[in-house]
Amino acid sequence: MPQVKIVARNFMDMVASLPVMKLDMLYDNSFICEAILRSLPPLAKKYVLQMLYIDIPITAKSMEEWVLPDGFSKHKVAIDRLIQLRVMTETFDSGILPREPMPSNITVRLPSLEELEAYAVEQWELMDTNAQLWYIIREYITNAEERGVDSADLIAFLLELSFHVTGKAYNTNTITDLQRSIIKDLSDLGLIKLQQGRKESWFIPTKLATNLSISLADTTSRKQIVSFLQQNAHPRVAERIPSVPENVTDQIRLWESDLNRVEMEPAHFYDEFPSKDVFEAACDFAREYGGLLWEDSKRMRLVVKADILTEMKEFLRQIAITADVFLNSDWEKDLPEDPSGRFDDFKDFVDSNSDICQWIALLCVLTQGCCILLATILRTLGQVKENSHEYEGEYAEPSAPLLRPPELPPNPLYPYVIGEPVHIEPHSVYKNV
Amino acid sequence: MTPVSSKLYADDVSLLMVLVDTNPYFWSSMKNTAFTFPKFISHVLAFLNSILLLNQMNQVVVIATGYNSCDYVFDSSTSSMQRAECLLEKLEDFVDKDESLSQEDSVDGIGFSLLSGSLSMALCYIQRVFRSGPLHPQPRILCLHGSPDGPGQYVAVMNSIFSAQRSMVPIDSCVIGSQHSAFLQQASYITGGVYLKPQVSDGLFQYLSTVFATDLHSRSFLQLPRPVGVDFRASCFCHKNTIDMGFICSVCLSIFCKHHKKCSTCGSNFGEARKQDPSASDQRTSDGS
Repeated sequence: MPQVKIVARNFMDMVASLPVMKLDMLYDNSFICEAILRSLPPLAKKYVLQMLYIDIPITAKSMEEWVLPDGFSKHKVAIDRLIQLRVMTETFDSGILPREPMPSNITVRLPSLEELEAYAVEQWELMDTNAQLWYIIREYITNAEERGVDSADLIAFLLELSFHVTGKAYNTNTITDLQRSIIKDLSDLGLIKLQQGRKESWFIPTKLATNLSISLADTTSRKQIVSFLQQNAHPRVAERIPSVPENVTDQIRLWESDLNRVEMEPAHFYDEFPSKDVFEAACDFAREYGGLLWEDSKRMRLVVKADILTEMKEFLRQIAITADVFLNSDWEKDLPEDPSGRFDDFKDFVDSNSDICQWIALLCVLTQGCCILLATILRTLGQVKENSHEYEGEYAEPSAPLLRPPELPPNPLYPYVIGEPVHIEPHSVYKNV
Repeated sequence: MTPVSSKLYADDVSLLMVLVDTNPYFWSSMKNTAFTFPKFISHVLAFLNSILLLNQMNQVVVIATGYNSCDYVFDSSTSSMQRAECLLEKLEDFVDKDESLSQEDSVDGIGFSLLSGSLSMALCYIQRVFRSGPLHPQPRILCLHGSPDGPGQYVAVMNSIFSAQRSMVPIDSCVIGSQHSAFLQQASYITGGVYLKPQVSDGLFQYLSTVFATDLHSRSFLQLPRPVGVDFRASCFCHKNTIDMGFICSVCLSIFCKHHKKCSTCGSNFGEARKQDPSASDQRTSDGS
């Protein structure tokens, strides 16, 4: 079973997974407080606001009374998120007073545009390079029209660029004037490097440029699809609230989380096994090496990880020869020519002493048979001994299966669950920090 | 460079139109209580700032409802007004101007503020937003109202309510005066908004942040105050009195407290029709027409 990984899809998921100390330090900055507040689910925002001046712990039960039965799951998500981000902490003793309310300083002032910009830059520094790059490129693309550049041309060129080879110099004569102007901007972003020769100039794509297609690939996020639907809705549909029905947005959300559940891994597919035994042996071998991804015993097909490809090849070659020896009467023809003639000598020796060889083979089989018999007897004896401890008349507990399937966590379809789910005791008490 | 607002849309975005009652006669009547106009404004400012904080796409527009006039005093979409405190200056100008207008005629009692005017202005603003932008701004109107209902505005207020209902704009009402407002009860009831009369006006911010900060998206999940009793009584068109029983015109449904020979709204003649068929054109209406 492949491991299911939960990746931080955005900045706030990453913030939520920070260690407690670091998270508390972040709250010293009012811009981060503001950004975190704005990133919360709508209900959570609402709760923060209405609990701003409540300085005593509130019981979880009384908070549940704020919501209608329909909104209970959203309530749960909101509360979980608030606890995750340590905006609220859970206490089990209602006597403890909470700490100073977190967002009290953020109602005081809103940042100026310059401050926001500085904040935005800081935020980019916290993200991985591809996401940062994507943000910049997206802004670049959306502003393209204002600069008189067709955004379609720009995207096409960027995509084209991602197919160039990293570190190789390309002559700027091969590109159009428009693309030459784009290239200047891109060199500022570090996507390419410009090299000036005596007569001609060259551009060298960096790794950022060639990775661009990776960051372009995660454009299809749920939010973008839904906002597209909302913005392009028929005027009559747009009047409805919500303009995109909830079941549609839910389905898109499920689809998105399903996309994130799938992990890509290079693998090899095998089929057309000559017999069931060969297939099963191959399966066992792959399992032993921890490389078995999928098997279909009915149609004898098998997918293994690319890591164990060489081992698998070797094994299959051996097994193929063995099978050939047993099944094919003319198997000697399949063997390669032996220039030394030793193989023929060996064969003659076996032929001339066939009686003794047959006896040796028989002896091997008999020994193995005896071992199996002995093992069965020993096992039965052991079981009798265990059972003698049980009281008569009571049912013996069914013995546990040798291999218990591991208890799998439920599918992480829910988008807000990151890491360990937080369990809320029914009598627990919240307070705002 | 624009900020990293990668999302173009959020579930909980809202366009909040706040109608603030600045009727000087009402607020001078509140001077003896603990809840004065400066206190009220400080609660409202904190509330407006928290709305702006919750979502970068939230927009707040404040319309002052005066005694003689009403005007926009704050719009968060204009770049010069990032903080709700910016409204103070304009509000002061507005109150001065409004007061100077009212010196001409004397007023007995608290008087009425121009609710119908500010409601219409809010609806016009929302219509403009509807027609200009591609996004649905999820608008709602919040009336912070203290003055009693002005019977003279009955028809205009009802028209605004029906217009809000048609464009699916909820009207929330927070009544800060001593009496309930039948106009606002009906407005909130018809448009699906929330009507609330805080028991403790000192804690206005808590009421505002708990009930009226709820965006339209979250309203389907949260317990909010439900209408207990709505005063559905209508006012007559002739004397603007609230009536339990009256006459309605069978042509245009205008309401009158007494029998008239001719409908003042549509001009239909009742007298002659009554002679021919007494039951046809004149009907008695009962409570809750």
